[in-house]
Amino acid sequence: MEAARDFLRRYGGLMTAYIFAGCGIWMIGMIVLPQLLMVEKSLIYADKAASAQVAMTRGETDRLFVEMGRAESRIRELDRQIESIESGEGGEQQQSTGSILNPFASQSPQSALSAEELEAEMAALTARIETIKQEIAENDAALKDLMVEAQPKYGFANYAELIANDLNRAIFFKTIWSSVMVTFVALVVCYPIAFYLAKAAPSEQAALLMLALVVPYWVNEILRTFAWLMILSDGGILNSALLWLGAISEPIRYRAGNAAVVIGMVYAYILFMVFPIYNTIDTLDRNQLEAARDLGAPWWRIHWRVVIPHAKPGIAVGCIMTFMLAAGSYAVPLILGGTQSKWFTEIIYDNFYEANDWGLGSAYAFVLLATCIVFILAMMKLFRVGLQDIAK
Amino acid sequence: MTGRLDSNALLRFATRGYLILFFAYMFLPLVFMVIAAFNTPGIPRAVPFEGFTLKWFSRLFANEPLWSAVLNSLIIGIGVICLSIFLGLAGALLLTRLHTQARTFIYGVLVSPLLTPGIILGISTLVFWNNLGVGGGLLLATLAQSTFISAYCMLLFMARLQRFDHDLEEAALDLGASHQQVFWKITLPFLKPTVLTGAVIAFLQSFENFNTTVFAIGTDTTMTIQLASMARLSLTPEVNALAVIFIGLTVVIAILYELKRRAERIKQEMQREAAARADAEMIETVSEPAALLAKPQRA
Amino acid sequence: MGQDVQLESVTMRFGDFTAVRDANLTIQAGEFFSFLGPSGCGKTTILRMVSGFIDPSEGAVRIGGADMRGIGPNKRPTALIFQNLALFPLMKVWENIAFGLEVRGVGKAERHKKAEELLELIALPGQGDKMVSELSGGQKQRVAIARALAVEPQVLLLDEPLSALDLKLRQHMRAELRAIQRATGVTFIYITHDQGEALTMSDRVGVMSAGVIEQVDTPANIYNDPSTAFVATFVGENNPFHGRVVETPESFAVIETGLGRFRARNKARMAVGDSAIVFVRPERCHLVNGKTPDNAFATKVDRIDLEGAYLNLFVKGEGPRDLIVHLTNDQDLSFLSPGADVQIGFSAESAVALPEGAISREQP
Repeated sequence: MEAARDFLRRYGGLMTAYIFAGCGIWMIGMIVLPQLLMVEKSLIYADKAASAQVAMTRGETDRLFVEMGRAESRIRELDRQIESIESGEGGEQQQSTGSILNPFASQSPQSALSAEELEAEMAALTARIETIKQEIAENDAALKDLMVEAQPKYGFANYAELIANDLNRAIFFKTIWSSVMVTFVALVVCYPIAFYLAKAAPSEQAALLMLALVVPYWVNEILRTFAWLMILSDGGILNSALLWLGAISEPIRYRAGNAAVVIGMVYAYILFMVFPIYNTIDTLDRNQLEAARDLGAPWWRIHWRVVIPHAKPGIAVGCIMTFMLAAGSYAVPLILGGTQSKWFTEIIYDNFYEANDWGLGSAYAFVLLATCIVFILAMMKLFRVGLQDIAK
Repeated sequence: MTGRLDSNALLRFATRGYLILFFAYMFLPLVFMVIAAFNTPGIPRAVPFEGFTLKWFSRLFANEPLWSAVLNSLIIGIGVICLSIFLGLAGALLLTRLHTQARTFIYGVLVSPLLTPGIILGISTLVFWNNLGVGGGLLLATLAQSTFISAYCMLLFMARLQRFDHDLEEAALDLGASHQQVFWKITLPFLKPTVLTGAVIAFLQSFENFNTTVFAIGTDTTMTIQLASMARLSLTPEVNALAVIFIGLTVVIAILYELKRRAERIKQEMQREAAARADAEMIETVSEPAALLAKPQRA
Repeated sequence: MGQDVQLESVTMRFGDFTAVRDANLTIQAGEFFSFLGPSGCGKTTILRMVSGFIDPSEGAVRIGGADMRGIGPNKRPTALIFQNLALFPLMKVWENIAFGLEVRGVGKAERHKKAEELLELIALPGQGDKMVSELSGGQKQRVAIARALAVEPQVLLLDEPLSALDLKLRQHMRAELRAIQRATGVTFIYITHDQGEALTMSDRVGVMSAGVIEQVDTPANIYNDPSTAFVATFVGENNPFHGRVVETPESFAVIETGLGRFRARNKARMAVGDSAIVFVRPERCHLVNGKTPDNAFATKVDRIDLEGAYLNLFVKGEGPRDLIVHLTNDQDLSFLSPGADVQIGFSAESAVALPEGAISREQP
């Protein structure tokens, strides 16, 4: 309230309304509620066996209704035949119209049938209708229970499904492990570049190199990945080069395993590692480096004791961003991955758009989100940085 | 001593080598992309170069589905710009002026989309709006993208506002301006460069987004969605031709940016000189303070 | 002519912290009034209450007799000159000056004309098309003054506007401000922690400490007749002697201190037995030679700092702190050396006895 009054005084009514409404819509309507609804969706499941049974019972009932309908119309026909026999008129004409109306009728013996026989058939049919009615009633009763059973319910079945599904579970762990690999490789590749740009390069050269780094970054993620498809495909540039050099005799199938996806991701997300580290190292006082060098520290010790401790928040942010992008990437595995290198995100997509099971998809999505949160917390703990240092 | 010098030379050599390797890694894939765009074979291939052709470009320009997808991307991009600037500015104004404990919480919530995998944002938006009876499409893609792009804009605005002297707002108020006048005449002009940067970044982020969009777009397509399906299903060098256009645009913009940076540095130096001259003038004027009052202010 | 400003039992609290406590004061129309005090004493809070950025927790601020509660800064007849000037960096000089007119809907031609007039007044004619960043410190200062005057305020509030300038420029600007105030007749309320500024420019000064207005008086009375121990020590230098009142003859009091009995003016009408401090200015002390003064004490020289025209003689006092005596360099002082025995004397008229109270920590 105090804050609201401060805003009123500073910005006036209209602006204050804009600020609070904007933040409220964004925070609640676009972030919090959608996430909560996704979690809610993930907790809703339908008992698959029960739904199957419901479908079966319904089918059975439908079949019974059809049978009953036929029996009833046959009874009506028999009725008319009996009447015509009794009134002495010819049954032929009736018969033919009846056969048009009811093809089944034609199968029954017609001409030589006496009224008694017709009566007997009618009695049998009436009895059959009675049993059908009974069966339908039984089915309806059973359906009522089954419907309750098959109703979407709250529970953890969607999560249990992930634990029980060996294939998906394996893909999940592979995705996490590969994303850690991507993060680690990106860190190792980027740290020297970030340091060089921030501290070692002459300022003119550094500005140009930064610009050079940004150029591939603004080229679409899909196109960046596509470039690697050309390089890593079975008949691609890398295989051609290696074959030409005689280093290999058979093309290597990079896309069969994880290699292509990991390489593509390192390439696609490398700048999310470079820039945070660059930004923190950039704030390091150059005198500290000179002082350390002056005190006789070798270059690796300067990095270990001076630069890396200073760059910790940047390293943490870089790792978090890279991991999050890798684990959540759908584009790169889609383009570079083969059948053997499915990514967890692809499973989620299939759940939504192929199996059309949104509950299951939401549950998988939430597992992915939770994994990223755990990773963020682990990084914050490992590098001892707070939320305020992140996302600067 | 010589040992240390040698190791320094070695280090420099290693650094140089690493830089060359790194930038080769960054740029060679793009070079291959460009070469393949002008190569004749029907599947994108840089080597062997079988013959120069421009047919992939003409095929690209005739690709109707792609261009209608690009149009969708533009529509979403403009929507995202408007929404993200609107929300990002509100968030930045709130957070720079809030000093309670709620600030940390709100800040955490508002930047959380940046740390959330894009597909989660797409899924949660889809599930949320589906509950309200709205299906996937351009609208949901715009909303889903804005969830995190607004956070980028907010961080940009916050960085700018940190350098804003809030006394300026008070001074304007004190001189009789209404709250709206203060915002339009003082705060917004100060933020104007950031509004432009924010709009550019929001558009680029939106234009190249795939992971969030793929869930929220429903049966519509955007450029990235279309590209992805082209890359998977009907692989032709048309994709390379499009990449050449993008790379070309980026390079041109990068060169313009560099030129502008150089021009600005020269301008700054000139301004610094001018300020030094003004200081000298000031000392001369102030040596005669009484001259100021030769004329009473109000007759 | 400006309007008067009244503070009626004004108290301002920020949470648990009381920034201003029960301030009662009338600043006359057309007066140059300064609030003097150390940083954090509440003077800026008073300024912000008068300008309308905050409303007092209790009490009322009146300008020209009207209660200002609930009236925003943009609706008050005041203009504020900020400590950092707060010139609009994206506007030209003349646009800065004419901003107040612009938001009032004055047409562009008229604004331009008014700005030119004011530029002439502040000796920056023809500089209106420059950007603010191209101006020097002193020029910016004057643009800020012109911008405030452009809205023809009844009360001009100044928040240490000279603190960013160097010494020489600052002294020039004091004279300028004083002259502008005389010429316009606007009520000036000036905030400063610099006693030189407050004493040289003001008609009256209010000395503040820890949220309380300790004394309101003319500069001469503030210096010569402090009414609290804080004022005595914050404004100028003063030698304190702690003790107890033993006699109260007429308008004087006799105080028993560690260095002897001293007779001093009893402005505060203390009674026998009260704890008191006798204050005497360094320039009012002298070496005793021959004639016996009202008050005298024997001590030893600790240190001598020669300043040129005069010298500062530091002698041992009651406590760990030295007492200071200013001696003019018009006599042979060569006999003074550290450790020498001296007799210091001062008249009862030049000494003030005040009740024991907080002493400014800024005292050397």
